[in-house]
Amino acid sequence: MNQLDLFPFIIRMDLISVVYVESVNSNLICCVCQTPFVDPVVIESCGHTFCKNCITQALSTKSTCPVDRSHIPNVNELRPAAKIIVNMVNELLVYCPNKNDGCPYQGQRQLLITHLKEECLFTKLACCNEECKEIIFKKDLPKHMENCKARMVKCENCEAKVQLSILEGHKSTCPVKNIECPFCYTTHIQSVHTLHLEECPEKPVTCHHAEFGCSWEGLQRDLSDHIDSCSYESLKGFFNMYKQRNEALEQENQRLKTTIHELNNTVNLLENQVSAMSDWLSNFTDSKGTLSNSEGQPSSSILSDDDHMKNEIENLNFNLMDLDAIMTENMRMQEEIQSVKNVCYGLRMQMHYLLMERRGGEPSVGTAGPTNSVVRTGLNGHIGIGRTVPPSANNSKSSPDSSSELNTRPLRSLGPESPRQEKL
Amino acid sequence: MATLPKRIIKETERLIADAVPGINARPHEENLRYFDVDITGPEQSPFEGGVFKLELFLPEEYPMSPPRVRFLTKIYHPNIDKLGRICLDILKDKWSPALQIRTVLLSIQALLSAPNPDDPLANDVAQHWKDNEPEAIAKAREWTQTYAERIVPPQE
Repeated sequence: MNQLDLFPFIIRMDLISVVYVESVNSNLICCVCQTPFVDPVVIESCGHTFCKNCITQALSTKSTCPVDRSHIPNVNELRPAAKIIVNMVNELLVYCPNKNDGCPYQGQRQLLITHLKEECLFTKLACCNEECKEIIFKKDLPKHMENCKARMVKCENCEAKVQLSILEGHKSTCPVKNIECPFCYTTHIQSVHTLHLEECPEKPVTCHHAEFGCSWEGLQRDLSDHIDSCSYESLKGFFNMYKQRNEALEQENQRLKTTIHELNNTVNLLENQVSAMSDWLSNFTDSKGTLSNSEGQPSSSILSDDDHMKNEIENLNFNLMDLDAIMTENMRMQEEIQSVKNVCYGLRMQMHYLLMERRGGEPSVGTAGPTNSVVRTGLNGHIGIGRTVPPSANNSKSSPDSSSELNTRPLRSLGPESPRQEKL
Repeated sequence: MATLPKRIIKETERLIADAVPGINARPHEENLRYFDVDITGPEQSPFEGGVFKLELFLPEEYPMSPPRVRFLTKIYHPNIDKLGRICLDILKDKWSPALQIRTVLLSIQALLSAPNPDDPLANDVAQHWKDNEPEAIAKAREWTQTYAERIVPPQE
């Protein structure tokens, strides 16, 4: 099993789970795992045989022999089982663990590892390409390697090994890639190609003086011959001068165009401002100078302010009209109160006169004084509430009293007065 | 849950294919470590004619630690308490990985044939057994009839 661990491609292998071709003699079966011994060992003191793994595990739980419960002080009591036992279990016929995947192999258990490692086509392997790692049957591996998306391929230009998935990208950047010249049909590697394109003698060119009117067209290698005979060549100096001046003029023209554009922008801006100002001014005159404090604000806001103010003024007008009505009502009421007061006063005077007449013999000044004063304060209290007549001399005399007393006094004074009236 | 050890698979297969007379053990479908067990009361014992239900569970450490077994059917027995717990050495300190489900159930069946009032779990039952064995046996028989009687299909 340790050998198997060293073999990285094998996904899973466990001798305990191996399937045996024939039923196995019960003497070769470990009583702990109930399968034929794997790596059998014997307990020296009692002679019972177990798989090495099974007995090690059992003794770590409890130090007695699983069969007879005899005490086993330590694992040093274990000895490898007799050779004959080892051979008998090693030669047991087993099926390949990949039987379910299709491997028909059956053979001695001891040969199983070699079979799995070298022969079995149904062993599962992981593709050795880093990016792939797909798990495949060994038999399918060659086919997979041909088609694996992550396999390495050789660049046909630079001979470097490149992964298939990035080959296309590599090809366009490969520095050693051969490119064919479209004019002379020779091939050059990419780095030389650009340089060659400039110099290729087969490249079609026009005369240097084409811009001034030379109509010659031909191959690069004929160009120097043409230049020698070109009539424009002798006028080269003039043309150059002319060209320079032209360029200078064009530059100036460009500069002027830019300036005009800027000026246009400024004019537009100013126009906008002027129209805004005139709008605002027209609003200003409409609202008849009431918006002096909102000066300088955009006309639209002034407009709305103006509307707002108008509304407010209208509201105030309505309120004023209401107030006028209330005032008129108030005046009317005051007049009414005054007339009622006058009637009251007349009645009181009449009553006073009658009282005086009834009492006859009593001194008129003594009785009339207090009664009169009481009545007058009561009257004054009433008047005070109405606030139409300024407080009388009597009221100012009784000012040290609280106002509540002032209001209640007429009631109190009337109390004793009425029984007196009844008595009389 | 980890994959079931090969030993448990083998034991289960054998329990079903090569059953012990009077013992019937079936694993639960959703938990193959949990078994429903029926043990028929042994002949010539006070439990004759009864079918006793038990539950058996194989812990993670099995076979290094013993299975856990408990009676579900009420039973009047000096080594089985009213919760169904069994006083049996191989289920405790005398467990050995060489033992199996089959051997454990056979031992329990044997315990029904031979109650041992000297190593009691249910003290009152054991005392009854010691003081008046015929009476205790009669009571065990009565309990068997009451609680463990094989369910006969109702007559038409």
